[in-house]
Amino acid sequence: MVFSSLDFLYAFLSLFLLAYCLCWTQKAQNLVMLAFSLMFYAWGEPKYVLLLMFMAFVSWYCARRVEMAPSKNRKKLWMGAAVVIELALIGYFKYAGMICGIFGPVPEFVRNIALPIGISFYTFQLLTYVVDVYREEAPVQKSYLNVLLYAALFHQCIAGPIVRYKTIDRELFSGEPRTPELAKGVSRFSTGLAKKVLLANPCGALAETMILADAVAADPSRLAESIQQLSSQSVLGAWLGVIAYSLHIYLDFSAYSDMAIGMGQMLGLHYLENFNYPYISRSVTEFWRRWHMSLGTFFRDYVYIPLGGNRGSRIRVFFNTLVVWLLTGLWHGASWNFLVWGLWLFAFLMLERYFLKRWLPKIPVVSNLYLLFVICLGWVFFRFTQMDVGLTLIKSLFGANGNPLSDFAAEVQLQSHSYLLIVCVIACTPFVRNVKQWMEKRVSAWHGLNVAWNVVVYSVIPVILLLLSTANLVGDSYNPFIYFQF
Amino acid sequence: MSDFNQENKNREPSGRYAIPFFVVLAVITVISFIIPLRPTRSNSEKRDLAKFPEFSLAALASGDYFDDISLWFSDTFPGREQWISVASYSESFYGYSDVMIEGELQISETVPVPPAPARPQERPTAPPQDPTDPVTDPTDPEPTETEPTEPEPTETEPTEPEPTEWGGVDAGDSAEILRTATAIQIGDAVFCAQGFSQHCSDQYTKVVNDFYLAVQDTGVVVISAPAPTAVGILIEEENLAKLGSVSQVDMINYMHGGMYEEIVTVDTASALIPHNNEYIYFRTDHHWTALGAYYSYAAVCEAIGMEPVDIDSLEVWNQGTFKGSLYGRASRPHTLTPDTVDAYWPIGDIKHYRYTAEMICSEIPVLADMTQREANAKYLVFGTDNPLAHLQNDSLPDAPNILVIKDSFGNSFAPFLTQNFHNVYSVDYRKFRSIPLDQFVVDYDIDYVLFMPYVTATQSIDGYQLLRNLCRVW
Repeated sequence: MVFSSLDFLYAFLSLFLLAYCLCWTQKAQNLVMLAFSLMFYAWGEPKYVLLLMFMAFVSWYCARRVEMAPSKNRKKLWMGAAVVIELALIGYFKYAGMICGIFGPVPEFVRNIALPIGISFYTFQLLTYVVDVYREEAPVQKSYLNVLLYAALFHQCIAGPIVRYKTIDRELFSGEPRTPELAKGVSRFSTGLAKKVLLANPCGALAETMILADAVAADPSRLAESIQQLSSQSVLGAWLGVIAYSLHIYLDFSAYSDMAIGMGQMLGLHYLENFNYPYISRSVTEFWRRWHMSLGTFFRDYVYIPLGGNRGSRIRVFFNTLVVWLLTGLWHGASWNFLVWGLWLFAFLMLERYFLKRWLPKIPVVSNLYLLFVICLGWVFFRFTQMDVGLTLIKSLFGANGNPLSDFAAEVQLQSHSYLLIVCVIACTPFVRNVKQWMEKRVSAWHGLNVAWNVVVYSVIPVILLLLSTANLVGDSYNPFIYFQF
Repeated sequence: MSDFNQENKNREPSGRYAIPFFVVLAVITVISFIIPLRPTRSNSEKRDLAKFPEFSLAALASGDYFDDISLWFSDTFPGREQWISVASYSESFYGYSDVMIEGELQISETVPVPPAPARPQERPTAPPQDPTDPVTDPTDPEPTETEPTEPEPTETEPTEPEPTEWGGVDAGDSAEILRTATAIQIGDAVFCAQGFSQHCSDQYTKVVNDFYLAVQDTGVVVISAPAPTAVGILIEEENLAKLGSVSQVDMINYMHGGMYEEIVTVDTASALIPHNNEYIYFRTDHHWTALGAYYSYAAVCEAIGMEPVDIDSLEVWNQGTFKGSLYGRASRPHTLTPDTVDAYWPIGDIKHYRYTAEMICSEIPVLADMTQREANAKYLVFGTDNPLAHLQNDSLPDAPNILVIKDSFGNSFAPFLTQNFHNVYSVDYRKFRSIPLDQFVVDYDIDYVLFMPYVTATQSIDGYQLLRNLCRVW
């Protein structure tokens, strides 16, 4: 089940909100959240709900032992045990095929291992919990069900953001009444829903038209066909496809975070932001501070800094950064193309750190274009698990396959999606937010105007977005969430 | 602050503003659980909607059971057609192009120069046998040696034709082509791209040639007049390549170029192009209109030295607004101009029979009344795709007989032939297997055999294989 589906909106969410409203105590509300969260997870992965429960148990138990351990070494041992078990499990379910592939043909049973939905997200959440307890940055949770709720909470369990335990502990388990922000939550949720359904989905469909459907591109038996199709794609068509995919991946993922954050706000839970308009960045360094911030923060706090961070020799810093980017690439998928994508970004990060850092801020538009160019090419590596297909597309982007500059199909697709692309580009910038804030400042002085403004922003627009999204979800066959695969 | 909905903490809007959202959510939730409101069939997509899944432990464990419930929930959502209309309308704001493409445009083969006509005894350039083709069709009945008898009409009540697919096209034949062909919406009309296949064209030529050889001793006149599709007639030739299509004049001439000189070939595309500013093709359907069929009929008559009936002398019967086979393939269906179906009453004392695959006969109206039927059924005014249909004009008892080998394009075409022929037998090459065709020619005293598959069928392996199996030539 995905947030942007009719069964989620008009069955799961409605029933959850009804059940939640009928509970008066936080304990009962948490039980409802846990029951619905497990149901949500089981809907997509009936058997792997047991894996989720086991991993939560490991973290809960080890964290308890960390707290009770009499010595620092013992604490480290229990923390290490949790980390090893959790990483071994994610290694088995996510990377076994890739690792076996290094040494030869992948055995049948390994090929049959299905990736549990959201394992990369909830594993990292559970790791932060144990490590933070070890570091004494977070209190230990005595109730297993509460740790399970933290890991399984349907808002963020399967596609993030990666919420650290200490961020949410007080709001989730303090026993104090939560203060829901219904209007803001509804506005944020409906914005995310519309961003996903009305903007991201058509961009994704356009990308599939221009630079192959995912299923085709990933199918080794259709490699020759994929290469033939991409090598004959015009330069305009190739760029249109790559730009549509770049818009899709941002709008899709950030929309999911918007919906998660919005649903949290409806209940009085505040998750940290996950995106900060990454495409307006002027460098890859800045981009990664704005993109999937919860993942960046995780690697910074739990990998980069423990390795030594910026301290130490140039070579040491280089090594620390390399490790982070290799892991970042691999986190996104057990495939070599993700490793190449991580290395691609790492190369530009190093280039910026040692050469371009001084120049990029001084040339705003050029630095924006540089960033977009690097990121868009990076998404080509990211998208195509078959490297030959990705490299063919890169050649087509520059006409190196002998492909034409433009063709009728590309021109038609550009024209018939032109307004959509413009709106999507605007949605990637803070333009709407700035206009909203500017308006709020103007209307706040007049009570009547302020009320009218709030009615429009928090009552009318969310309803319109909900209805339009519903209309587009009915009978829509293209509705994947990219980040589900991670 | 990182997103456009991020608020200033000091100004908390009241939760009351969220009430409309929750009310709408609750109302739609309640409606979505009223099972009788859930549709079971989609007219716009031409398919049965998902059914609630059967429970099984295996499906539960694999997750398929829940996936299927989700599919059922969204696929049969109450008010589905209305929601889709709203979505379609909102999609019209994506861009400004008058042309929209659903699917990928393929680059068509170019049409070679037509080969010189051959003499039957020469047969110099027989195209190579397709190694993938079955040599025999195991489902074909063996030719019988029993004396043919004219089937007597049974007294069963003729039933109203049922729309088994849009525009009367049955699933399993061209419906599949319609679902998979690249659909191009240009302005208020939809077209299917139509490429060229030299291999398939050669095979079509071979089928007609071989059939001629099989029946030449009977003195029957064999005619080939493939029915062109809209893209080849309404789109200017210089724009066809952009649409992954080729000139259908060239295509038909290529196929006819390799036919024996004794076979009468009719370039229907050239006959229709001068009329392409008239309403000769539907905008929402892959068929020609009855007017388009008439111009082709006139071209066939001219080719065999007959006088076509004056269309103005025929009474027109309008069936009302028509949404055809391509309506559901359009990128922006709401921008299509609705079609209307006109049928022409042929003059004379005409009877119309249809036959099942078992040759059970029943009499049906010459034209079926579809005026009160749903918008997708209007083309059935010309009847459904029966294995064999027979139009008999008793006002012309001395006129010759004709056998038409056709698909659904022939349904609107056949009634015009009654103005020149006593018996018009229409065999659907996708369905008829009751009598070997060369035997049919003899048994039913056929004077003319007209091959009229639509061009798309001649360019597909399935199409020419069906024709070949029907004609039992290979």
